[in-house]
Amino acid sequence: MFSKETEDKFKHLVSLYPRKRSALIPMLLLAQKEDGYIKPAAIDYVARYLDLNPSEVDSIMSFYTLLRRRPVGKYHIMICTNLSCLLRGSDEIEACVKRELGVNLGEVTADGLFSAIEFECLASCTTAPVIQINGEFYENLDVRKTEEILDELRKRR
Amino acid sequence: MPYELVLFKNIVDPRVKEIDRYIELGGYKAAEKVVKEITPKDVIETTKATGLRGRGGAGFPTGLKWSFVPKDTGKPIYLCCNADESEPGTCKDRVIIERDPHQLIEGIIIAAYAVDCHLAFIYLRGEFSLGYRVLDKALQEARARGFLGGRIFGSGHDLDIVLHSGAGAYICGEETGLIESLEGKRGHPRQKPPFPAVQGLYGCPTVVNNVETLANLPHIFNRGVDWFKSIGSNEKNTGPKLYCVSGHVNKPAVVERELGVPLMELINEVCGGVRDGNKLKGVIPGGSSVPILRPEECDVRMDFDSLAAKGTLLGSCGVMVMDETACMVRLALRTARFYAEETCGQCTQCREGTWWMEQVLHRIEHGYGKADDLRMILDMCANMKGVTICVLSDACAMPVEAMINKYREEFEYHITQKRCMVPAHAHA
Ligand SMILES: Cc1cc2nc3c(=O)[nH]c(=O)nc-3n(C[C@H](O)[C@H](O)[C@H](O)COP(=O)(O)O)c2cc1C
Ligand code: SF4
Ligand code: FES
Repeated sequence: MFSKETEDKFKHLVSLYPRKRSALIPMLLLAQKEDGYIKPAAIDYVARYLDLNPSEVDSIMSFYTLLRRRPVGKYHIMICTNLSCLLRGSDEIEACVKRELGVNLGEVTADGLFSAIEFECLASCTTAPVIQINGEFYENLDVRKTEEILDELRKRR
Repeated sequence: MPYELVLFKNIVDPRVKEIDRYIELGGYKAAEKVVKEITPKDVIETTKATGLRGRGGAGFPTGLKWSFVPKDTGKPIYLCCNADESEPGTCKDRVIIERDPHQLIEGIIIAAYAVDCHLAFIYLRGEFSLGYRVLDKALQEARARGFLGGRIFGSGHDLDIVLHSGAGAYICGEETGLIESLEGKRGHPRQKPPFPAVQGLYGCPTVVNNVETLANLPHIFNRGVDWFKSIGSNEKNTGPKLYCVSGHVNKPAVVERELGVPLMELINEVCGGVRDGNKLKGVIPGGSSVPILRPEECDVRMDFDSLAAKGTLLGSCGVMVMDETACMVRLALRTARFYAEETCGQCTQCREGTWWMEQVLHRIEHGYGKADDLRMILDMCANMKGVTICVLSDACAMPVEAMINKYREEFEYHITQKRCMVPAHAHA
């Protein structure tokens, strides 16, 4: 079901904890890393691995915002709109990203390259406004910088 | 006398992430001394004597918390480092994690030894990808040196540390939510008592400490109780402190100063003053969960008790500065929305209170507010405090209530005039 590398990591993860169930969320994160999102089959697989009920895993999953059930763009953008970012112009960053992508938040662009969502405080408040793309921080943004970052990613594809 | 950096002393050194450099700068001496030469009981007593209080938000005395751990249950004892940093306005732990990870690991070793813990966890916020890589590498380095694993530093103490990634949920920063999440469940906070020190992870005695709290420990055991107590405003507020100053200042930054630095000194001297020479409108001193201060209340020291005397909290030291261009209604709405998103839903008052508050503030912000709305929100706030399993409910009610009470005219203007008092072009 998963690559050898992911399978090895699963095995290692489960060995770390006094009770294997503790590996659940890290395992789901790994599954997501491999597939881009968490497929129903992955839920079943992880549930079986940990002797849990798939519906229970499903319900636990829905508690955590980083775990997703649908594919996102190749570059997934999380825009912080919480207080410190709001005070430093996250409205403009959000508008810019929407304009550049041409889709609403939560949607994926037709070419599959981008998706963007609004996000809570990313713990980068003193370098606001900030976004994360695929887990990496882009800080002290303004509209021009945001456009440049997106252009760069488009070129890289 | 200029302030001498402690926690951030090596933060600008790009190589301090590497164990060789950290050791070269005196690192791991304190941990080695502690596990080889000091009894766990004395480690607890020394920590108590420093007056160190938790840096995660509640300010509970660290040594005292450790002393609550029962030693005779026959169960293993666990330590969880709370690295879930998600309180809006707060970004200090991330700096330690990404730039000086060994300082944290050394702190964990000392705390674990003090409470007789052999397996510790770092519950790291899922969004911290870089932090994960840095900590993972640092832990490997420490293991390779024999600072982690069996018989650490050649002593009789075994300790390993597991790096555990969260997956996006503010409530998992609450200590019992963290424990539930670490057990592979939803992060639903537990009713207390029993407190985690007695019944925590897997039903075993568990200590939860914040990253910054733990980072203080190596310095305490290198430099002593008197040195630590010489920093800070008084006996009850001691030691160095990290402040995250964001929003409308000229130079936003995470800075280290003594616990109890005057707030206005932080803003004016350390962070370049309110941006563009604008007028100060208010300051949220401790992350989005704490009540805002009006400018006339800002003549205050940034310590636990001075801020409590002003009716607010030091919290997580997320100092958010607002100038005259900020709209309080918008900020109150964004605050309520955060808690409505992040409530775990177990308690009715919290689940429904946060939801309603967002709805009502939303209509006020958008020009559909009703005459009675403010009274309704304030009633709601009163009903949300002190009645729930954890304090997320209070953390929503307190700041919103303060914004309405302290800037009431702005909310009323929104309701009666159906628009904002702050000119549109001036909006943040
Ligand atoms: C809703 C909520 C969120 C919290 N988030 C965090 C957090 O992200 N990091 C943290 O260290 N403490 C957080 N806390 C405080 C913890 O419950 C706990 O008090 C703290 O980790 C204890 O460590 P300390 O004694 O070293 O401060 C939070 C508390 C609440 C109620
Ligand atoms: S107060 Fe809110 S977040 Fe805390 S346990 Fe109750 S419902 Fe959950
Ligand atoms: S408010 Fe945006 S990073 Fe904290």
